[in-house]
Amino acid sequence: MLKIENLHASVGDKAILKGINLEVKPGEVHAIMGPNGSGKSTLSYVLAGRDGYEVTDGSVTYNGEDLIEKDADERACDGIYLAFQYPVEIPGVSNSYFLRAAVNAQRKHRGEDELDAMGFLKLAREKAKLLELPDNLMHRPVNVGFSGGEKKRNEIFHMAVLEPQLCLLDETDSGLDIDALKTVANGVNSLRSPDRAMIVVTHYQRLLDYIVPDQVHVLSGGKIVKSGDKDLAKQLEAEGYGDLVAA
Amino acid sequence: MEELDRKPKTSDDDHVDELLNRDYEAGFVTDIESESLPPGLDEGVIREISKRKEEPEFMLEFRLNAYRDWLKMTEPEWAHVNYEKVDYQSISYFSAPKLNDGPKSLDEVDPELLATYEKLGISLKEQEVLAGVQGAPKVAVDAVFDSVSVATTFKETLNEAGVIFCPISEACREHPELVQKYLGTVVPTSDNFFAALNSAVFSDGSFVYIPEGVRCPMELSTYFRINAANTGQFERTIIIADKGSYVSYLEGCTAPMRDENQLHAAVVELVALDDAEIKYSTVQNWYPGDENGKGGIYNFVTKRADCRGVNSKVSWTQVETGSAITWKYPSCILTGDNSVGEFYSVAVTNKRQEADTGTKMIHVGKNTRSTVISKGISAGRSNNSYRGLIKILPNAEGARNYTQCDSLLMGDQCGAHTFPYIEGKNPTAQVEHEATTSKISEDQLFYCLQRGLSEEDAVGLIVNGFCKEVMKNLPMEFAVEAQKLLGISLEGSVG
Amino acid sequence: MNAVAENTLPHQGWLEAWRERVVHPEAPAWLTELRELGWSRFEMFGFPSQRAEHWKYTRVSALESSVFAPADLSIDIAAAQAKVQQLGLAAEDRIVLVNGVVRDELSQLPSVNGYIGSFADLLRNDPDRVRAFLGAIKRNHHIEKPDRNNLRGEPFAALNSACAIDGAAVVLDNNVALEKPLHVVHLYTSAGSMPRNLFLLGQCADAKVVEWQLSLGDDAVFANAITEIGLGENAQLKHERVQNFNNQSWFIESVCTDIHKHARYIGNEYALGSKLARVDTLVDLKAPGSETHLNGMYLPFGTQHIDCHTRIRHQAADCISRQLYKGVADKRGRGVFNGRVEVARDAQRTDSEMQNRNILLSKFAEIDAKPELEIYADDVSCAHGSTIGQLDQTAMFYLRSRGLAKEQAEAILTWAFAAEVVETTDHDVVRGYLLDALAERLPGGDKIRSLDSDLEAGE
Repeated sequence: MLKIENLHASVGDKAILKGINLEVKPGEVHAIMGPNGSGKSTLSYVLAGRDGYEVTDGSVTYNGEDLIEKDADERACDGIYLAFQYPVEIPGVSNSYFLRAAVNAQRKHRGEDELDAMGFLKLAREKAKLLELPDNLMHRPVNVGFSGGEKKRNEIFHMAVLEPQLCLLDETDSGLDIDALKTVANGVNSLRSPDRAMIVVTHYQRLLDYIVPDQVHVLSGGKIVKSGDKDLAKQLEAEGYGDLVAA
Repeated sequence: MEELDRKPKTSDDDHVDELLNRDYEAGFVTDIESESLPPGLDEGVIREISKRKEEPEFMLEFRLNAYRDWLKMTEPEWAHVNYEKVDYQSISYFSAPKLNDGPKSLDEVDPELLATYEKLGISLKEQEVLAGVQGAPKVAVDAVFDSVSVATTFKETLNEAGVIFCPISEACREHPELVQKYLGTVVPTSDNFFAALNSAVFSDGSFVYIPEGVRCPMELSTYFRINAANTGQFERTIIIADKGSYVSYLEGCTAPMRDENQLHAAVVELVALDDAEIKYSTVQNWYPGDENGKGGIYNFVTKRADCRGVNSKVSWTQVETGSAITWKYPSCILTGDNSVGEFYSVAVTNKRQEADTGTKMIHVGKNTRSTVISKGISAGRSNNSYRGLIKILPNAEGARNYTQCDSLLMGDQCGAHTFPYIEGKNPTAQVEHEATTSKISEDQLFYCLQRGLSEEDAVGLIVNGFCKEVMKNLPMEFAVEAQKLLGISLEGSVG
Repeated sequence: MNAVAENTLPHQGWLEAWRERVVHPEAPAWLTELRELGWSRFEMFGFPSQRAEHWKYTRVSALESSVFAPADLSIDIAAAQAKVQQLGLAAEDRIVLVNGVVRDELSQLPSVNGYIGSFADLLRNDPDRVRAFLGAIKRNHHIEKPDRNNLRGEPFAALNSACAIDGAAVVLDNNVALEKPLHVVHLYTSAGSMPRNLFLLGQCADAKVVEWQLSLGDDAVFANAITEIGLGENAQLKHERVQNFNNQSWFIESVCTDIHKHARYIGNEYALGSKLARVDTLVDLKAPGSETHLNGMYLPFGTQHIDCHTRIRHQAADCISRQLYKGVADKRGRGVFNGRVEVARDAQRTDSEMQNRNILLSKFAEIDAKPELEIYADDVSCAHGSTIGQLDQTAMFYLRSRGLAKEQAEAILTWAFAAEVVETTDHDVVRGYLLDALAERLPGGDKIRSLDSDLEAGE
């Protein structure tokens, strides 16, 4: 599904990613771990196509197509979803209106009919129930005045409604208490399916107790320095990043 | 937004252009026979206007006094606008569509005229309004074409409720005692240069009187249209809400595209007595001129409300997208104890438009409250200024004001300015003013794109959200028009 | 909100007296030119009327009929000495001026690479150094191209340019850092004075300057001061100003600062005294990465009128400005704050914030606030807020819930309100002086002050 080869990327003049290789197949969940400043968030942004994150070398192919040349909205319509570490507030625009606009933009891209208000609400309510999302969250302005937990749940809610193929979860666990973490993880797990892949970026092993990955990669200094199965995360938790980072 | 600029096809400016630079749709000229006075202004012209309108003597006196005041005054220069000064002797002060003794019914109205209003989406035929969508609110319309009211609808229904809604020239003849009692009591003739000019030469406008205890059975609406060339439009509107009454009044404005500037100097006076409420909404879409700043309306307007009665309330809502130059400060004098003044404004400037607009809230009575929400959007090479005065007089015990003015900048050739004046003379009063200026944040844009929205839709969505606090105060049917004007799809049909 | 200023000229007598005072046969031609320009501009402007936008809330017409001839320079040195002692500055580095003229016998000048001392001496000994900078005031104050509707301190700046004979000068060469704070103490005994200060900091220079503007005695004074400041690349100046004239006196001041690349100006203004004070703090952020923080406190009590104007011009990209001005007005006092931030078209990524907070303590007091933004760049983050009459209600509730009576809670919160700005000072001498002033003026302030000192002493 996703193939990253020798990816180099920089922000401004600063090189952040220095040769990443990673292949993700449908149905797989990959965890990317690493200390602060290792380039985890940069990788998410580069894959989602944020302006200012420039690919200087290497390639990214997604479903056989070159991803780098596409704009962020095109990538989203192609099924790439980024759950933001810091979800953005959009004052005055209700969450449901926003999400419906997004759903319809993506449907239009796929040549499907747009959902009317009733159809959308039905879909949204179904998914909201799944995530135990309070009803009023749909009618409040996007992320405005949401608690940290609500924001993260809202990200997963968007994901559930948009039904992407490749999900990038950027530090989805940061700032969550254990109950909120469980709710978010349950939501994510319910979205796991054989044709959907996920890349879970996290600083803490804790999240991986609930979202169990197929593979774990350690990112340091802009490179993947070690890969392994889910036990690698446990090992990191016990031993820290020390040796790996030094290496 | 440097990153965006690197990509040629998605620069920010393009979106601004697409969203806000749409052609002026109301720019057509109606070919209609009209009668105008020759350009120029002197006492003779004023006597002629008064005579043609068959006004009572006190009206002529009022006009002449105003004219004499005007001669002594100078055009204000403190506003943050630049324009070529008006030659007041080159304007015709009276232009009326040629009508034979005024229309007795719509059948007698020139079909061209009716077509003009149809084209603007305003139906003057009551049966058509009634035949409209089930449950749609009824709106009574007074249509003012150039300087003359051409049709007022739903007169009978309003009559039954005791509501007077008619052209002001008719009110001068039919209800002189009311006109004499209120005219010039909120905006005195000598108030300012443009108000004095208006007082001297105003030709028409709407007159509304809501009797004690009456809730006006429908929205009242006036549509203003400047059509003739080389004319100024000087309408005067008076709305009186007697004790315990309520009225919602809407005002819409358009003008054809012409190369020369046209002057619009209106005066609106509102009076709210005890426990009365007036809601006054404006969607102003006068022709703004072209990209090079050629043509467009000079919108120099004095709008003021006197909340005379205890517990009275006046709420101004305006969506201003048109005019080359705007000079407009809808205000409230909060005289009555516990009276409430509100001002909600969206002002969009683009191309070379210049707007200096805001409000004045004068707190006189005890426990008076005011709220000011102003949203300015500047694009192109325009300048958009908020100017507001909050004045707390010594006896305004417990007065409260909250002001929020936010500016959004689109493009690096425009300006957004904020000039608030806050004067506090009572220690128990609380005044709070907040202002921000920013552009659409790159974070917001990326978040929308990541969900699959195109950049154009994302900008539209964010702008719409930015204005929402104001838009929600517009009556529904007007909100639709206003949002269309912003060039953005309607928000809120879901959720 | 009205147009065309109609200004008036003062009593002819005092202009003549000033003209005689400043005749300097040996002055260089350019200085004489500048003086003449000042004269002609002042004659053209006259004193500003309230119809000029920036004088809307401040009336200076009473100056027209007063006679403020040049002050006598032969003064009682002992009294001045005592004042310096009383302020607690006897051991500090200081330039002491009486009636606008530096008195060496009262001063204690640090020796540095550069120059610290009398402006008149600097002008005599090293005129070229001064010349390049002195003209800046012309730009800052539209003396060359006057805009009559938009006058700020221009008329007074013009008058100062024409009349100034001395002031404090601080010139620091590149990389020079003043180890101790330098106090500039202006004392005035009577009549008129027009000091002119010049602070020039070279690249990476660093200084803390505390300026005192004080009456010496009870006579009425008219002081019309200008301070011009230039900060070279990466230079830092922390400039604190304490103003406490007696209630007969007039104080007009313009402080004009040019800030270059990565340099930083911190300006704290504490306005306590005078019958009428009007201060314009004008800062130009001229190069990328420059920064300014302005803090102010004005306490118009009795029948005082205190008008603080600030104007920050963001003229380059990536500059930062912050402002916090607080006013407390009591009795028949009137406070004015007019803060203005201007962002030029090229000043992208400007980050600017202005906060203005006011409290009225009496039914007859008045506060007028005008926080203004004028913005021509699109990539900016600018905000301002202004309030009148609000003590923090949450804090109020907190205090009441601990059992304090309403009046007591109000007194504490009013104290806290003003003390926030006092805490921006770096100097114990200044802090003590300001807290004493608060103790004297704020309701219940004396008790809070003494409790405060007791606790400090107990530590």
